[in-house]
This record gives sequence, structure tokens and C-alpha cells, in this order.
Amino acid sequence: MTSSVRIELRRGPGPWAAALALALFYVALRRYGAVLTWMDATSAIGASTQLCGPAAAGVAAYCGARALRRRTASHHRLGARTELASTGSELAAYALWVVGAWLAAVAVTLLAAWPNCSWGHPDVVWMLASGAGLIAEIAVGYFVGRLVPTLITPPVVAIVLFFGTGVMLSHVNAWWYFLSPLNSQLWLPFDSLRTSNFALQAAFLTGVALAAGAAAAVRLARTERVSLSTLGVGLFVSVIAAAGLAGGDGHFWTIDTHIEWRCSGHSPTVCVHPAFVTVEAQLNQQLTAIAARTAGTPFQVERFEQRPRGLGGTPTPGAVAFAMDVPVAAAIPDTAVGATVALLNADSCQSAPRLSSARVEQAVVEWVSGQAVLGPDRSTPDPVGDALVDEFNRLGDQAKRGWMTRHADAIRSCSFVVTEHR
Amino acid sequence: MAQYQHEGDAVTLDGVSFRYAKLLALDDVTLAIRTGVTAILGPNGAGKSTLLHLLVGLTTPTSGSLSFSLGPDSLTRRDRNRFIGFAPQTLDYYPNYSVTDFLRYIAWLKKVPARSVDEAVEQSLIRTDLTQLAGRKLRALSGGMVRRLAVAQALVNEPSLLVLDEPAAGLDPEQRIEMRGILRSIGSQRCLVISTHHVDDLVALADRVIVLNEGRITFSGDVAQLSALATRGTFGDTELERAYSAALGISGPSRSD
Repeated sequence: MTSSVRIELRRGPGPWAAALALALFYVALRRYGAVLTWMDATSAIGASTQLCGPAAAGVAAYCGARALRRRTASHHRLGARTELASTGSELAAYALWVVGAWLAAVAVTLLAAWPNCSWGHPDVVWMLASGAGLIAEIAVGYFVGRLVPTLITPPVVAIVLFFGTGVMLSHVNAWWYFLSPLNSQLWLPFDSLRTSNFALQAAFLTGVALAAGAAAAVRLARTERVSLSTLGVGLFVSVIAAAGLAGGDGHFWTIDTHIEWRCSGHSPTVCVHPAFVTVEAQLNQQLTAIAARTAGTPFQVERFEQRPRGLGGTPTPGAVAFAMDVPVAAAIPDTAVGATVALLNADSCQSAPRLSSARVEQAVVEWVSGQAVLGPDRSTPDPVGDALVDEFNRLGDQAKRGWMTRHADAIRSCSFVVTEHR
Repeated sequence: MAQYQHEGDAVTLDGVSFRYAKLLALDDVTLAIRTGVTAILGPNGAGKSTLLHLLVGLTTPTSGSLSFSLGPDSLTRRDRNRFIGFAPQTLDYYPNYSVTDFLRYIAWLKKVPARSVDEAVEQSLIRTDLTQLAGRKLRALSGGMVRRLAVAQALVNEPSLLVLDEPAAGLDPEQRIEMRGILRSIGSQRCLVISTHHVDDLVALADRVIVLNEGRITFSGDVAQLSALATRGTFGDTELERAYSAALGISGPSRSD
């Protein structure tokens, strides 16, 4: 480490900026919420720079303006070092503090995630792209500070970057989303990261950082050849990376066509994504209870499969698909209801013409899943439907199974009529 | 250390002019700087600071040529800075730095080899009598201390050409005497160029005197030659002041009359 970097590390604005950065990382990570998987942890790290990045860029703008505000640029011009060396050492010392604070926040996030995450790993390329984003924000802030060395520049830089990245965040799946220094997305099981997009994003942001640092040096000495060539290299790298991103579709994820499962139990066998092993036993208990309630009926089930939400594809013949987004016990009741709805085809009630049918279907779903279900609007009087529900609820378990066998078609199509029921 | 033993003239100006927009600050200046102390005298606005800035490479001439003989011929402008030290009239700095930090930073800028930095900083502190203040933050220094620091940072790379712009400006008489002592000790083995308003400083220091007025050299010679210009009817209390007035072409009743 050069002497100038060591001096700047002690005397520059880095130490207090790092303390501020740590506080902002803490706030951002608290706002992110629960970290239940390594992908959640990675995404939380991506989100951690939302507050700190703009603030760090604001302080960098203050740092960049120092040489002109204090008129120390003449020392640089009289030095034997290039402007890039003196600018680079000042910028590097400041960035080391802030990136050090970010690395501490990353370490704490990963350590906190450790007990919850039993499958997979944090994505290094995604995290590198976040780190490159932070460095790019610092370099751009430093350059703007040197370009416009006024007292109002630092807050303006911070505010513009904060709202700018906010706007970018709302345009996920556009290719230019990846030009933003901030990237954070919810991970769903079975999704695969588009690592190439993160690599290009990291390259783009590194190029921006290099170009901004060199441009700050050029600001002091316009004829420095080494600064101009570094500026050119930075711009070249960022343009090539941006072109690579523009040529892609800008997606964070690809849904896996090859599904990886972890299966357990017999009658039923329950297959979940390996990331959900922490809730596997509780989930198995719930789904086994569902299988027991439907045993001997046309809805008897031997296998449950967790599948991607939305574009999940068709389950294995004879299996029932269910979706679960986060491996947390609190999500199991909803998952049980979802599996029951899939088993009974209760979604057909969404297009059912009769309110009474939906009420009966709701009662069946509640019994099979063992969970209360938010059903159709009860404010509309429906004495016929209420009577049917009361009658179903008064039946014993064996009688309910017999009733389900008799009315299997009506359950699947949500088309109960009074005569059918009786 | 960067000191380079040169023979003959270290810097040569040949017909140099410098213009700030419409103002001609230096007009056809021809001059050679060699080992020893060269004092540049002149009233405010005479072009002294402009001349010093040209000597250290902070500005380039509008016309004329400037050649340096401070090191090997192949030196780039940046590399040449290793052999030059400059103390500006007003020293700018980061107030949060300590005296030692600041000198170390300048040593780094001047590419003083890492193994020599400690010694170079220590020597600069000793020569300028700042050792006791080594750890003090710059914001806590008085005006006189800052003047000494300006000289210390100009010395830290053991320059062959040392240029000091008004090193005694703003100092009280006691501090001026101290500064003179410092300059005397460092001026014997290198090219030391000083601009000053104080004619008295010349007697104690200068091997050679250059008087500038309105951008032109009106006198160039040693102190004895300057003194010889003193005549009755020129302005000033002492012989040197009257000689200086004569060099500037100012006439008027002497107060001693």
C-alpha cells in the first residue's frame, strides 16, 4: 500500500463515512426482512447498497471536491506522480473504507443466514456485481464532486442516485435494469440465476468506475496521457458490457427444466426442493394428513410434488403439485390449502355460476386441508348453501369420504345442486 | 534522493513572455539560474510570481523558450518535478493532516524512494525547526509555522532547484530573522530562487539580484552592483533601498536628506 493511501486512510473522510455506511447497511438489511435461503441472503446483499450507495457517492463527491476547494491541486501538478496516481490513491483510500464496511455487512448477513440455509450457496457473481455497483457509485460521485466542487454537490449526488436507482428497480426484466448499481430480486425455488447477466453488469460497473476515476484525474490535468488512456479503457469495457446486456433479455432468472427434488415418506411420498429441507418434516405431516382424509376416495393421493409457481409444468402422473415460496413453517398452512385445492380442482369454483357450490367446495377444502379457508363472500344471504355446508360438517370422517366419492365429479367441477347433494 | 549535480545553468529563459489575457505579465525575459541564491525583487504586480511559476513548470511561456538542466536530458516534465521544490506564497493543504503526514504526502508525490522518506521528512523538519510540531494538525499551525512548513515541503525531495515565493511575507521581525537563517543554511548547495519585497534580506542571503518591474528585468547583478546604483535623489531610507528605487527607475527625495 502506498504512503499516500495510508495517510488518506487515516486522515481522509473514510473512517466516518464507513461508520455512516455501516448504519445504513443495517437499516437496509433490516428492511429487507427474513433471510431464509442463500439466494435470499444474496438478494439482501444486493439490496444492502440501496441506501448506502447514494450516501457513499455523496461523501465521495465531497472527497473529490477537496483538492479544488482547498486548492491543493498545485501540489499534484508539481508532483512527479501522474494525476491518476494521486487521484487514484485518494479515491482508493476512501473506497477501501466504504467497501470494507460493505464487506462487514456481507459477512454478517451470510453468518446470520447460515443456520437457515441448508442447501445451495450464496451467488458470488451476484454479490460481485453489487460490490462493483457500490464502487461505481463512489467513483461517479467523486468525479461529479471534482467537476462541480460546490457545497451543494454532495447532497444532490446522493439524492439523484437514490431516486435514479429507485426508478431502475421498477423496470425489472428490461435489459437496462442491469445498468443500475442496485440489484435485488425475490428468489423462487427452481429458478436458476442468469449469472452471465450479473457478470456483464459487474463488468459494466467496473468500466464506469474506472472511467469516472480517470475522468476525475483528467479534470485536474487535461493532457495526462495515462489518464486519458485509462478513461478510454473504462469506457470501452462499459460499452462492450452494455452491448452484451442489450443483446440479452435482461432476465434475472431462468426456470429450471430439470427439477431437483428431495423425496420422503410412503403413501404419500412428499417431494420438495432441497432448499426446503428445514420444513420438510412439518410439511410431510400436513400432506400425510390430507392423504389420510382422502384415502379410499377418488381423490386418494400417493405423491405430492413441489413445483415452480406459475409455469410449473405438469406433475408426474398420479402426483399432486403444490407451490411453496419460502422454507418457513408459517407458510405450511397455505401450502396445505394449495395442495388441497390442486387435489380437488377447487380452482374451478372461480368460474362456478352458483354461490352455493362455492360454499360447499370451501367446506370440503377446509376439512381435507385441516385449515380455515377464505371463502366466497358471506354477506350475500345463501340459506341453501349454508344448509348444505351444515349437513356436510355434521357427517363423520368416514361418511365424508363416502360423500366425496359420490360427489367426486361435482367437487372437481364445483357444480353442486340441491338434488345432487341429497 | 533526487538531487542532481548539474554544471552551469540549471534553468535558462530566453526571450520569455507571458500574457494573462490582455495583461503582459512578463515581457521578453532572458535569464539563467545557477547554483547559489538568486533573489527576485520587484513591486506588487511586477511579474515575480509569474516568473516563479514558469521556473517550476506550473505555467508555460506565451512566447520564448525555457530550458531545464536539472537531470538527464530524457526527463519528462513529471520526472523533472523530482528535482524541483516550490514554496508558494500561500500554502494550501488539508487541515486534517499532521505536519508529518503532509511532508510524507509531498515526498510521495515527488517520488522520494520509500526507504528514504523517513530520513527526508526528519531532515526537512530539522532544517525548518518544525521537529517539535511534527504531530500537530495543520489546522492548528500559526502563520509563521505555515511559512516554515511551506519551506519544509519544498525541501523534502532535496531539490536541485528550490523556488520560494515570498518566504518571509507576513512574518514578524524575529520570525524573519529565523527564516533568513533557514534559507542561508539551505541555499549554499543548490539553486535557490527567492522572491521578496524586503530589500534587507538581500544583504544576508543573495548571491545574485534580479529586479523586475512591469514584467521586464531592470537590473541583474550581485548585491554590490545593486548597491552601486544608490544615488542621492532616489527613494529610500537605506543605501540598498535607494539602489532598489534606482533599479526600478523611481526618483524622489530621500528621507535621509
